[in-house]
Amino acid sequence: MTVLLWLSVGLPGLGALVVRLTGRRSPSVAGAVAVASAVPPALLLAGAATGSRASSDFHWLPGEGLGVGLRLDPLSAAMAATVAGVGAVVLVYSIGYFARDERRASALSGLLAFLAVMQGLVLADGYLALLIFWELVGALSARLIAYTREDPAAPPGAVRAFLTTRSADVGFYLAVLALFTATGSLAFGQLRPGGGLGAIVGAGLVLAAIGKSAQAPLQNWLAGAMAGPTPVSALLHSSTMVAAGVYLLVRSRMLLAGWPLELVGWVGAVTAVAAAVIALAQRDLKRVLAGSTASQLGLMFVAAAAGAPAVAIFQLVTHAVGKAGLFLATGVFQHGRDSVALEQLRGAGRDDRPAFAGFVICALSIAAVPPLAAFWSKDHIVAAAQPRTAWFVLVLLAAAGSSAYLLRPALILWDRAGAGRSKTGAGRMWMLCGVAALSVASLGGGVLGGPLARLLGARSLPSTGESLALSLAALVGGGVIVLLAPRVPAAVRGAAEHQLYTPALQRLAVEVPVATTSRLLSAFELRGLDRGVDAAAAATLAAARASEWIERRGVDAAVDGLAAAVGRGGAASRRLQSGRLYEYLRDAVLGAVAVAVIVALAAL
Amino acid sequence: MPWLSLSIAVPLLAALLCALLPACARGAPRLLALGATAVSLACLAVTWARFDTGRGMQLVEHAAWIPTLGVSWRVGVDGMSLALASLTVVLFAVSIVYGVGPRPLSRAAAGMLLLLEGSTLAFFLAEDFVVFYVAFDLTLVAMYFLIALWGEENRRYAAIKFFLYTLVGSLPVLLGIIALYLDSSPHTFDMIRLAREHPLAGDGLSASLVFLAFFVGFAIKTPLVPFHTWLPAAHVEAPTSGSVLLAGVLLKMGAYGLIRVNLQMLPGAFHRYALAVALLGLVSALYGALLALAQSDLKRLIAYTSINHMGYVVIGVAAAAATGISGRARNLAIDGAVLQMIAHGLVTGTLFFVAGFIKERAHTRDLRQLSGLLRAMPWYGSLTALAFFASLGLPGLAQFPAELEIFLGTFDVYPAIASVAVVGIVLTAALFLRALQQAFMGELPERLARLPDLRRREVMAVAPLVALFVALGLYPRLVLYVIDSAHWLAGGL
Repeated sequence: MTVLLWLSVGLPGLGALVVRLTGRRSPSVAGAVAVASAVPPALLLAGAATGSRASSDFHWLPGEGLGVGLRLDPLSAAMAATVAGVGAVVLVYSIGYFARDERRASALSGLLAFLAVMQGLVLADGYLALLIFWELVGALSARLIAYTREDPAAPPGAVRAFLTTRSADVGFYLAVLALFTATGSLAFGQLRPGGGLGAIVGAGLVLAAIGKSAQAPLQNWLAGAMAGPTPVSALLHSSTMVAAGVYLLVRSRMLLAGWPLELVGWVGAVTAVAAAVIALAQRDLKRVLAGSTASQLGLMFVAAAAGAPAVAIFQLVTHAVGKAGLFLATGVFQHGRDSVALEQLRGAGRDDRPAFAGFVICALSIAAVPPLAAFWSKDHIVAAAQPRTAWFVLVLLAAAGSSAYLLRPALILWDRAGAGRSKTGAGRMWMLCGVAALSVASLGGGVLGGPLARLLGARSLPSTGESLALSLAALVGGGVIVLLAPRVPAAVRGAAEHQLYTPALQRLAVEVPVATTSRLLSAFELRGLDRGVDAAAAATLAAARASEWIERRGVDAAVDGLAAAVGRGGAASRRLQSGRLYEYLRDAVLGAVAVAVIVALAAL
Repeated sequence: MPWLSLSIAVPLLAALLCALLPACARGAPRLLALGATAVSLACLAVTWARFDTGRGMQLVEHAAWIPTLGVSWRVGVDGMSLALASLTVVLFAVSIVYGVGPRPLSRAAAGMLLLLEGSTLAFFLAEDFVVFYVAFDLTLVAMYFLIALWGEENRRYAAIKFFLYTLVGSLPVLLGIIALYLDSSPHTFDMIRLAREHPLAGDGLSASLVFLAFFVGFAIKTPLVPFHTWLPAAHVEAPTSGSVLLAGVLLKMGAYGLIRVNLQMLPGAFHRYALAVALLGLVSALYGALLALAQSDLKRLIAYTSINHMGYVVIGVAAAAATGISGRARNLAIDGAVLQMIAHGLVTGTLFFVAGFIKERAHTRDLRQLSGLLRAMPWYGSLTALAFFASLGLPGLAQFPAELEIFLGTFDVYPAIASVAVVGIVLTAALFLRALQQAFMGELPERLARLPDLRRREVMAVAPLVALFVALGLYPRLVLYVIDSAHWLAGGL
């Protein structure tokens, strides 16, 4: 089993290197590697289902508790299998998506490298290993977002994504420091230590999860990340990497018991609604989906907080499949119209009906239409949130929002008015294969709930008659929202379109103060500190000149020598050398004399 | 064989030999310098093989020099010395490969590089205070000439500033050495004995004054804010290899002195002032990062990040001083600080090469005038991105384990300082990503479109550094098993 653990990480990692070097044949190699890379995680899942557990430690730093290792347990196996499955589909799809792209080897190897570190993240044993892979997926995410370097939006989007998540990762670092200081161990499954250290652990991990999973008020980096290639959005920014926050919460539920989970529930519930509102107002299909992702991740936060970790993971799986499918279908339309702006995509669904069919299936699943996959998981979330009225109401609103924000683009895509403008390019078949695979999974994924719950050790998944009825009511509510949307005041729509002004808030609260401090300190350094040093030097020189008048003969020659030597600069190296050494020796002698005097005075 | 003495003597002798080379042998100085460095490297490789990781100071070579004063040639290694001496030889090797000034390497340049190499090695390996001090000052002389003769436009100002500033720093060090000598009985310059016996163990005023004298000297060298203003000037004006050596090796002398002298010989005084030193380290780390954020000259930006990274080292050393005799936190902090010195040497060395390469091609390092470089020079761009990510502490690259160990060790003693220091990782991320976005992304203007990608000589200069910082990031034990401060920090043999 340990071999399978290392293979899960190593196979895509090696594949990334090979693909980078293969050049023209890179697409087929990348596809093959990705499919092959899904085998070890599948075997791990089978192993976990039959009760296998394993861990393998790699002595990374000396000292107790600082090893880095991988582990097999039900949670890590379920995550690894999800990542591998979606990853394989997205890579096969990418063969088509990047077919016309001369730099595709770089993109494909980047995706494989991401798969490797993402497997490391979900298979990590202990918080040190988790932190390492957590940071690495962030860096690869930035690299992949910035893939199109000339695009004016892509590099800034990448920088924002990396900086926002890394700011939140300060919480992760602090949690690791506090946990290690308190317990001397970074192993999973510990209870939260008491006092201030425990508070740091709790708050830090929650902050890290908020950043990675694009929860309010840090959700807007995800919209910027949409400037990356669509397969990247599908794999990193909807199904796997952003879900790492949910995984962290579920993994750390013992450490987070009490107020941290309470905080998680509120953040998730508020984000679920706020991001749904944001998604409703976007003019760009990928940004609609980004808002939807933040909202759905918020629902998983609620599930984790409401004591239903198995439900959160179930929702993670169904959402990963459905949302990745939506992105893959979007990529097909994007190739047809060279744009993801909703206006440009008007009618694109009619031009490419197979892709549109996939889009609709995945949308119905995410919007929780029975009997599709995400219906079951969302129903469990509604039921789990039921004891907490506030969360419950917010969850229902978010559920209504999800059917609304997906209905709106579906209607635009199917609009007869814009049909007939799409072009068909190379690689469409590969792309449709990807869409089809995820559509099938979205259709039937609901059956996974039971086995997944048993694997994760949950006795049963919560569901009640009321929750079922309310879930369906929320679905209808979504339709009402779409009908009412044009009547919403423009100011509200504007706020929603601009991410409820969170980017401006972040700028005011963080970026402007830091930039101002940096500029002020820079001015202080140049005009204050450094000028002071130069002034001291000038004063010394002036004193030397003054003494020159007094003590003419001795000092005269040395000063002249210095000036002359400096004046000749580079050319006369030999003479300069002797001049400086002489000066230097003189300083040493003077210094020694000074020392002798001081010592003598001290001795007196 | 006196392997350590040999590793010092060969570069110094080769420096003399450079002067005797005939002017017509144009490639000879470079070959001589490379050969001498290879011999030093081999000597240190033998030392690695003979090094016993379970012990402290060892392989001491000793020869009487001025017996009446108790001055002797005494060199030896413990984990810190061996690691830093090895870093020194590696950085000199790549600097000689890349060269200084006109090509091929002139006799004067080769001589200065070799003089600097020998004296730096002597400094890190010295176990006698007189050797230590002479080596400390010799490095100033050699570095002065490297900047003054082969630097950029404003080189003379920068060289003088560097020389005077650090000379001012070296005088209190001399005072401190004499004070330690006078307070030991019998009088000795033997650093091994001084580290074991702690002559100024009492908490009197004299211990504080001696501590302060050493501290100021080493703080200027490290440098700590507010003693740092020589550094940006010297870095910006120094030739590329000069900057690599200055940041990679010479800054380490300050932090090395803080550990070797202040921490090992004056633990009591350091314990009293540990909080103040840690706070200075914190201020340096944040100040350096914030100033780097405001720079548009790539070289100046890198120079300020050095202040940030060395600030972390000082925080770690101070935390170790605060914890007392032993303990896990103390060893983590010092292991991390030494590893950070190694990692910073490799990563910042690479960064200064990167800055030098672009200046040579585009004749500017102003980030505002550069754009789209990744398209024009994919290999150069990837190298830069890798070095940037290493410098911002990405896991898998050498600075992550170093900073993590420092933070872990410090958090135990000074949780607030460690917590604020962690925020620095966001600032460094911001400044490096901003630079990447500005210069390497975006449209490629016509005037930059024909820049050549990395040349063979450049690849040969950076490849060893990159290989080492990647290897150390993946498996930090490669050097941590040698550094292993638990065995030498208390001054044991």
